[in-house]
Amino acid sequence: MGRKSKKSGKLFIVSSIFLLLISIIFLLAYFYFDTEIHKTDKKNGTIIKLKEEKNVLLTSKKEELSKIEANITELDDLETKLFNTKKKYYGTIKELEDQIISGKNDKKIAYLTFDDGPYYNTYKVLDILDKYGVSATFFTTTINGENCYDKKDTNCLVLYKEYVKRGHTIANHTFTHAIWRGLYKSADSFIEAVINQENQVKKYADGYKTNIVRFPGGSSTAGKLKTSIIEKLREKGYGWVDWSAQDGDGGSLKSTEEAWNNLKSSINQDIEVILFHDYSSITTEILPEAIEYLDSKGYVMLPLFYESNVINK
Amino acid sequence: MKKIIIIFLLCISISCMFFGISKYLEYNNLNIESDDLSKMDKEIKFLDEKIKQKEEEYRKLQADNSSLLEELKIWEEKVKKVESYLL
Ligand SMILES: [Zn+2]
Repeated sequence: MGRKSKKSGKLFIVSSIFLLLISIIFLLAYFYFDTEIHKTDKKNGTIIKLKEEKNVLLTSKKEELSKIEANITELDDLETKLFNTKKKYYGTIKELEDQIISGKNDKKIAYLTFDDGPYYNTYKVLDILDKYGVSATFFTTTINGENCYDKKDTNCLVLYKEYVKRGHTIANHTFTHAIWRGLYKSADSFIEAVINQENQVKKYADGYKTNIVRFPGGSSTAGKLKTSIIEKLREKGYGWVDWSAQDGDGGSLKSTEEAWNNLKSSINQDIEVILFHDYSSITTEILPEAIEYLDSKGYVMLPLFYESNVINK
Repeated sequence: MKKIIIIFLLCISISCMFFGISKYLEYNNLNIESDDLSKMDKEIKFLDEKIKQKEEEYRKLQADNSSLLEELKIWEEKVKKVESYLL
């Protein structure tokens, strides 16, 4: 009996110590994890706050970047935008023409056209047009070669860029303009002269594409070839135009009075294509007054374009 | 008497186990925010550099295209003028 109670006393003590130890270990574990949880919470709080701040910063930086990128894209698209604006400009003129032709709009249009340039005198013409804010059409040829016919020591090919820069239309008056020297020998010789001039314009006006032709001497000069030339022009995507009014500066004008008489007597339609020549000093002299006169008659002066109703296709 | 003490101690140790284990589980389930702040710093630095670079590009483009911008403005004015002639 004594041994038994001694044994159970020992068991009791061992069990008690064991249970106490277990309790202590788990209690310690409890406090340990509790402290860790608090620590982590605190750390998390700081990280979250920092992250939020950095996120705000990141967002604003990203916005700033996309803004700059949008600006760059806009600038990159400038060429397209310019192209579209020009397209819109000519589209609007076409609309105006249609309104005039249908009798809905009592405005009038005068297409001022200058043949046979570039000449040195063209600068004077361009300055006058600039002064009045008028855009015109220049039917160009290379008959005079590289230098200006009226100022032999000056390069005239630089004028091609000038036409474009000042917002005018460059049109094609054939490379040779050789009315009596082979231009009208055949439809092919005519087309060749057109293409050569097209390349000349492309070369000296930064890739400018001409698509309007004027026959040197007028379309009737082509005689029997006219139909086949027109056919070939159409195939090449060219339109062509003669004129409906002029001051006669292509012939032998004797005075400004004569030019005035010619001009005034030939202007009688709502849409006029007026023929001038860049080299004519008489035209240059009367040009400011001619513009004022046309303006007083209700004409707006605009540059020609392929889609215009006056361009034959 | 001894039995009562043992049962008492047993209860205490079980509850301690319970609390300890539940705290452990709580700790285990705790979402520890990953410390990717340096990654964000890197991204900010990268963006800063990119902004600088793009600004430079923009300034250059602007200078290169100033004449084109001018031309565009002129043509836009011309469009407006012709539009004013329309009905
Ligand atoms: Zn001619």
